[in-house]
Amino acid sequence: MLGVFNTIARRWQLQIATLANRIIFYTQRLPWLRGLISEQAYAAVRAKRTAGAVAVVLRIIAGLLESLLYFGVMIALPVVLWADEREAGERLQLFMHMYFCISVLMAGITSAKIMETNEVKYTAVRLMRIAPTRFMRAVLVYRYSTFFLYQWMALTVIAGIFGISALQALMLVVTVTMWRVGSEWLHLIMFRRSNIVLVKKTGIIVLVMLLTLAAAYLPLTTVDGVPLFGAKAFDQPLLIVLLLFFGVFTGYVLLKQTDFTAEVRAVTNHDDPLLNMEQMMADVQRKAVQANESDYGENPSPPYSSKEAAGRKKGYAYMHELFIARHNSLIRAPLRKRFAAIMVIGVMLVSSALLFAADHLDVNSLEQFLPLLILAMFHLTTGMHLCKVLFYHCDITLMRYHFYRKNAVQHFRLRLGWMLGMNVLIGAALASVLSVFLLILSEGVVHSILLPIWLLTLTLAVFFTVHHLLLYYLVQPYSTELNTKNPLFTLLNSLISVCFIVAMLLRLTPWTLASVVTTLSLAYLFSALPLVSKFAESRFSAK
Amino acid sequence: MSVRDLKEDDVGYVYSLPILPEFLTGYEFIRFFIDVNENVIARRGEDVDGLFDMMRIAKDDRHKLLKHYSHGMKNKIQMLLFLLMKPPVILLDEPLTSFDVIIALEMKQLLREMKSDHILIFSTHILQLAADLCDELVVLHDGKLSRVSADLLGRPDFEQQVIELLQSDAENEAGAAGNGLGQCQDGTQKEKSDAGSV
Repeated sequence: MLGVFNTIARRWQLQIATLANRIIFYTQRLPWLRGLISEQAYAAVRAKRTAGAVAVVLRIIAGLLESLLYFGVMIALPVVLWADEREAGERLQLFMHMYFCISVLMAGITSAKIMETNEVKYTAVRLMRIAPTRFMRAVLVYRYSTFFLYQWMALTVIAGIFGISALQALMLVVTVTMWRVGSEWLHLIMFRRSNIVLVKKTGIIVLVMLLTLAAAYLPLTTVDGVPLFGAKAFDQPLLIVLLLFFGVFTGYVLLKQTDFTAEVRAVTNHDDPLLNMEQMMADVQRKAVQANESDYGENPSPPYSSKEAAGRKKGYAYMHELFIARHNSLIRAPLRKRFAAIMVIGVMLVSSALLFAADHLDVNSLEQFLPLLILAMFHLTTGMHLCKVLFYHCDITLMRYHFYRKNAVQHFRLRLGWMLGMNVLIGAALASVLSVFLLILSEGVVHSILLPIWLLTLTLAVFFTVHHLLLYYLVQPYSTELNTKNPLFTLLNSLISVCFIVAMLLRLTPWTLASVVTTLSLAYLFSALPLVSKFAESRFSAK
Repeated sequence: MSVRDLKEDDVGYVYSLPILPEFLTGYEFIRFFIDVNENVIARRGEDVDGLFDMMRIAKDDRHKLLKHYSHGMKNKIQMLLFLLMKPPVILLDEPLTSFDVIIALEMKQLLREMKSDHILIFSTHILQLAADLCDELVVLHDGKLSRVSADLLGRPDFEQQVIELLQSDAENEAGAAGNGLGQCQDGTQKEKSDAGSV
């Protein structure tokens, strides 16, 4: 057993060294730190080992944080936000119910370490020739001991809000951990009996996720009829005892009696596309930005004579116009999809307004959901897709030319205007749909929330346009395979999610939220051009 | 003649695999290039068709998308950019690699013409090309650069001399290190030459 842990530790070191190299590479490109980190940094093996030790500590903290975020954001936050007027007992029941739906039902069906396909498993078993059984036993011990510790600590912290004692928290987490060990065994048995790898059946997995998440979150809304069966299940001592015994028994079988060779070989086939995630993602990404050949044909090159040339656009405007004309389908498709999504949202909102308006829905109570607009606009604006199209079909070649990088401000300005136009249109469509919904709810009276909604959607359209395009010019996150490997880009992008959570927690009034977003958007907009002119020349390049 | 340090814009780099925006036609790309570098190119870009004629690119081909250009035609477009920008120093990586016979001859002729007002520095494995074009020759062997006498360039046995030079180096190292021969045979053998003058 010790040998297996050593191998996993070595594999871990390799991953940490790769991460360290990536961080060195991108940090060298940061304007303030460029001079501090030399090329020799890659050779600092001892420093990397020290960094590795730090990374172990950070990984433990990250594991704990992940569990904290799970309990905090996925379960506690929605209860606190949307059920704060209910009694403490009912809130506790809601919490338990959601925990049961997600951790017991959803995770039990959708995740199984034994049947999972991943690169580490492939490398360890197929390339490093570690015995599958030894490897899987180590993985299971590591996975469920850390799972138990992180969840227990996280739940002890969060549970106080709902009046759950430390002992109760311990019992809950032990039960769930044991159930998860048992579910690993169930997945194994299913594979042995019917040759089905359930975690790979995408359709079933998605359906299960939708159903369990709906069962978890619907009791938070005003929709009646969803029983809190999760809370009831956790209240049954007999069931708890059964689950505990089941976990202990299956844990013993898995660790002492099971030969995992057939299962591990089944999920580490060389041809399995899941093993080569990067290649698969690159193919998918490329397909997503594949140009339509007919666009080239429909926009033949006008043979400019010197006379015709007099009236034509020049320089970057000329190139930009040709680019849009020849990638029309690629640019229009996401726009059409977004309008369709907004239409669907509109139809759903309007029908729910017509059906439930009188009994359940009140315009004033909708104010607390306003921060959802941040997430909605983040996903509805087309920035990231367009940046990929620009990168893959235009900039990947031109950014090798010094003049193109030097004149970055000129094409940035053109593209900003073009993307703003599209995203403002999307924002306006969403705001219109929401206006119709609110007008139905308020029976034709113009509610005071309407104006901040319009202001918020439009300024968010500006914010995200600038955000995506500016990050593209300053951080240029895409590699030639269209992968995003820049940790700085990921970090900056995840700040959006943090802002959303903060906005939710602060419970700002509609006007305050709209004013804050407007100020931020304008500041972002006006700082974009100076930033691009200062940094893009050195940063806007192909990796 | 005044002396000054080189700036980034003074050096042009010709890729062995030309990298051009494929959604534009050759003509459009050159027009765009002239527009955005107007201050450097000045009057040299007034007659675009004349430039294509000079590069021997047929009229029909000028208005084809760059994605449909052959490797040789893409390289011609790339060379055209340097004729427009006229950077004092041009670096070329294996300039005649994978060209057909006609384009290789045309490119060679073009390089010979460009010698008069550019410093061309190129890497090649083709000794004949080095002998035909270069005024100075540097051999990169086993990670070290060594200058080859300019007198050698005009001699009929130039190729044989260079090969002997490389082999004798390899043998010396094999004698000294005991296992150096394999390394030398596997090692990259590149010649860098500096042709022409400003």
